[in-house]
Amino acid sequence: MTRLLRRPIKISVAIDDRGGPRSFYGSGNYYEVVEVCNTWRVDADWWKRRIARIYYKVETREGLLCDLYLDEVKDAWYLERIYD
Amino acid sequence: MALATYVELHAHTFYSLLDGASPPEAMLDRAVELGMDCFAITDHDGLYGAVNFWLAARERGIKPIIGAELTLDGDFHLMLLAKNLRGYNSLCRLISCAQLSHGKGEASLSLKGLEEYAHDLIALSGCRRGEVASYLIEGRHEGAYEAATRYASIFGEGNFYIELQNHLLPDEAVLCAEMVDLANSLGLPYVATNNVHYASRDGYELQDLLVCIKERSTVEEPSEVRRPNSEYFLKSYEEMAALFQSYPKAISNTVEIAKRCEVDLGLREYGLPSFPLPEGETASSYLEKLCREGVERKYGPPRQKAWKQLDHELSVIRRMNLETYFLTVWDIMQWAKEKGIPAQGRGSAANSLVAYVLDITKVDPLRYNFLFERFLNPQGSSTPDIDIDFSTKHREEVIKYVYERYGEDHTGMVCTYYTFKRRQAIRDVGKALGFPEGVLDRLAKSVDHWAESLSDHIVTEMNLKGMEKSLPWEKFMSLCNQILHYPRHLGIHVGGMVITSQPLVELVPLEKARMPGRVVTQYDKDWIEEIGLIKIDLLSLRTLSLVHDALEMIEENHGIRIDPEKISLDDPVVFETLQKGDSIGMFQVESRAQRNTLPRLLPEKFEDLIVEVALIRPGPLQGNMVHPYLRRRQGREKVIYLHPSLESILEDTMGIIIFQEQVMQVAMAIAGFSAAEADSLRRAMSSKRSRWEMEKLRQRFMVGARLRGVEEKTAAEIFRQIAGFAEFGFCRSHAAAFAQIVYLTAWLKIYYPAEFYCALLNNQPMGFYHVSVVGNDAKRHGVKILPVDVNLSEERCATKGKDVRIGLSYVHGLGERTARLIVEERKNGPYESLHDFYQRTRIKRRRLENLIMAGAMDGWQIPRRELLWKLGLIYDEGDERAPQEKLELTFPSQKVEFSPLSPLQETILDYSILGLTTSDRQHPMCFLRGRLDKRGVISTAVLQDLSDDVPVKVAGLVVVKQSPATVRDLLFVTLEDEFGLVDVIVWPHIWKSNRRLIRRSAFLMVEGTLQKQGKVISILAKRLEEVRGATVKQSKVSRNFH
Repeated sequence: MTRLLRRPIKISVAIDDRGGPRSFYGSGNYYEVVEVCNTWRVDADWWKRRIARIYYKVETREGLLCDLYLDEVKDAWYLERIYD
Repeated sequence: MALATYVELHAHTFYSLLDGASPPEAMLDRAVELGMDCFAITDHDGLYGAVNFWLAARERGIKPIIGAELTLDGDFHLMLLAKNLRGYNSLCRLISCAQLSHGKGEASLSLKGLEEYAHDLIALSGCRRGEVASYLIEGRHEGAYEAATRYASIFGEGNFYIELQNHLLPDEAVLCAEMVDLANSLGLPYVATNNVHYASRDGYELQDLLVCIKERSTVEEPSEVRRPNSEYFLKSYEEMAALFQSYPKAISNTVEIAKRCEVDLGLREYGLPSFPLPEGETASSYLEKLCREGVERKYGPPRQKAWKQLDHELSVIRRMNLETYFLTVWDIMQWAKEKGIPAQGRGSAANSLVAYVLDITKVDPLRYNFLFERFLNPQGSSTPDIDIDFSTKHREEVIKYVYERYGEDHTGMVCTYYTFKRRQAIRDVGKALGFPEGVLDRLAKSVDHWAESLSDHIVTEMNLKGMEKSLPWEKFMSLCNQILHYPRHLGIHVGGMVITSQPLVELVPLEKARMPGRVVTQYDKDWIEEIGLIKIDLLSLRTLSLVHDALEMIEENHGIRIDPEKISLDDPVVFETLQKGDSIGMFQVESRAQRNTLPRLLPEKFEDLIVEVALIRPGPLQGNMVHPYLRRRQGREKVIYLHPSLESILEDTMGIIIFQEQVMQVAMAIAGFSAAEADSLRRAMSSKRSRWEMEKLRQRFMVGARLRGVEEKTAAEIFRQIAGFAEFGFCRSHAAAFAQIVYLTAWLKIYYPAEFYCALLNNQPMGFYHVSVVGNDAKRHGVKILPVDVNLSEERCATKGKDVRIGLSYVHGLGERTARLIVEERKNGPYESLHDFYQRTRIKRRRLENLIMAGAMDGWQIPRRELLWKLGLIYDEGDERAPQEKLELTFPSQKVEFSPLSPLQETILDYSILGLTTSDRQHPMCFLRGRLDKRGVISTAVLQDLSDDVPVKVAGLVVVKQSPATVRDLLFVTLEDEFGLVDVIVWPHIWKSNRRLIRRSAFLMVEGTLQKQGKVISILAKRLEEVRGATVKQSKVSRNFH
């Protein structure tokens, strides 16, 4: 089961030397990433409101499994999905 | 340079039609930036861009790897790379097999086909649509293992690689791991590729759009074949190494594979098959024998000059092993001659005495001092080019002969690439973006401005007022501009045929053409030539059909059989006519520019006609050479030479470069170019100009000129002149070949006008003018155009004494078959009435209506309206499939009175149904004349009597609109009134503010200033106005060249 957040939460992210998330801070909590399980990229809707996102499925030290993404259009990071 | 540590082995250029988004050159430029020194092209089911890629790669110091991604039965993809020439042969075979065994655009290769020709190839398992990857994605591991084992066995040890790709799709990391496991367990090597579809990330949008165009869908419609992100660009070693950090061997194997692939596309040795020779002859001895016979036939004694030139040419031909080539062309020409098919060599071949004495070309090269080296250059590496024009209606027979003579395995038609033009770009891009069709239709139909950028046109036409910055319009305009000139689909070239000694299918991939039963090569004519294969252009020229038809009619009407080759080329009457610019219908010299140049150049002899033909070409026009030449010819400007060494080259053209060979001679004289280098210069300036090549040649030219002591400024100016010229100009011999046809058509028009106009009308469309202008020109030359008549007309137009009767096939919608039926049935006696006609022909109602409205049944002396009424009654009676039961009503038909059509109505019907008016009708301008007189509008008849620079008002039917490529910001409009034609010059600002008016009005009134240069008259427009009152559609009468 996963929870897709109704509105992705904006987060602050510290990145590693390859641009992936090392740790992130959101909703008053700090998370350290212990593993990036998967990475994928989505580009869409370039003819109207361009979407360009790099997704990271990460596991945090607390055992939280979630999807973060870097929105290249807004140059901002978001937490989009949490796995139960 | 050391080998790069990553080589891209899977790249689709824009020759993966409507899928790849970058030209090969852009891919290679990016590869250079990334430090790759090998790179592969692997387009879908074809080697379309291979030669272009091969040349461009070598130019950039990159080793080209030739490959393709094939579609296999089951819709699986498989990547193939040629290891060597044999591998290239296999690749050509496999692609052709895939292409020819299915419908056009549905290539698919069977496993059996693959097994048969899998030699000397390296295969990669392909993208996600590869069989191995597909099965793994579906979880069918056994299938994947079986497929991999099968491919490994087909291609042999070390020749089949498992292909890993990672485009940051959610499942690709897992897929890669599974692919590597599979490879390891089967002992197969694996390799990384990026399945590149554009050079850099910013090509993503265009690629996505191209796929939508291909799928005929819009961007809003989801589709599996569209790629989900922008990762399909050419990546660096660092980027790829990062993506495949767990599999370093996948990266290093790209280099290993690249090292194993080496293909040279120089295929010269596979030229023509041997020619069937008489016993005891070699190709060389037989050619010499034929030439010697030809010299004796063509030249009277003394023949020393001819023998000397023949010996020289034969020695060059032997040195270049071209005997078979000449014999092959000779054989085709002989066959055509035996069949009575008009044919004539054009182009640089006319420089050759051998071509002349073999009856391939018609102009005596000795008489006009043609330069043989322009045709065959002993130092040159290029294949000679013989282009032959055949009468349009006979060309198909010639092609069939060549197929039969050399076998279908060794013969093929050359393809041509259709690229996106403005209208197509607007329609396709707009449709894919979901724009309303009405908007696109309006935009596409209104594109008529060369100079204006496409974006400017869209902004103006749609009155966007700042909206152009909104995202949809911005994307639309940007993508339209990007897509321009991209290849869209492939068709048959107008005449290029390639004949090879080795089976063609091993040298060039073949595919089906749209024409049933016809096969084309995937290389266009330039690439065929680049790889050294022999191509012969069997072109179609309608003028030769005209000449053929006219000569046949002359023989029939006058009992004289005219041999065009025996017509003397110095008839003063012909030159007097040409000097007047009275040239409508004549070959090459009827255009507005030519008509205006003739009275200024005043040709007096055949040599002048050669210049005339060559002068009005983009080369001399763009190089600003026309006006200086005319001024110098008229003695109004001093003849000067930019450098003394140019005098001998340009003496007979008064210091002006007019012919293509002069460009080469100038480069040789000023910069010390060898003949081969000069030829490279000419080729580099072809329509596919290579910036790299041009820059290299410019530098070489400047260095050479400096070494020869030519001032830098002078050298730069000379290079500027020749750079604007070259391929867009004619070579002298080609101009001469054309000039001969000009002369012939002029001669026919003067001495046999009825036969000339009749043949001209029967070979439409051709030339510069709409058929109505041809018809009106005939009337002005005393040839009556007689009305179409079901009892008098033939299927096609026919002469009647000094006049021409319009043929039945001219009636709109009738078609040749129905026209033939009417004529055939008439052999049983004339048609007595409408009822009789219907009973005997039973033709469709719409066609019969057109016959009535065109006046083809006026002979029964019944008003056309009454005939139409009666027609209704006939069809009511005769149509058994009438959808409704008839009401029992009686029509008082006897009492209905029908007024005849007015003369204006008859004229309008002529234009709309026949396309031209007959002599008993008046020009539509006659009906407007009274009204125009009151407004001070004068006719074209009085313009000659007025002086230069006076204000005038004229009006006429718009018959030509032209914005030549050489002066793109100007529009020339030709108006026709009841007395003749007048050209109107429309400056850009006037054009811009009257665009819609100019586009739509059938009749225009022009206020402007009269421009007179000797006998040449034109009007400089200041104000334009539509003249209403005669409903003729512009599209029915005007030819537009813009």
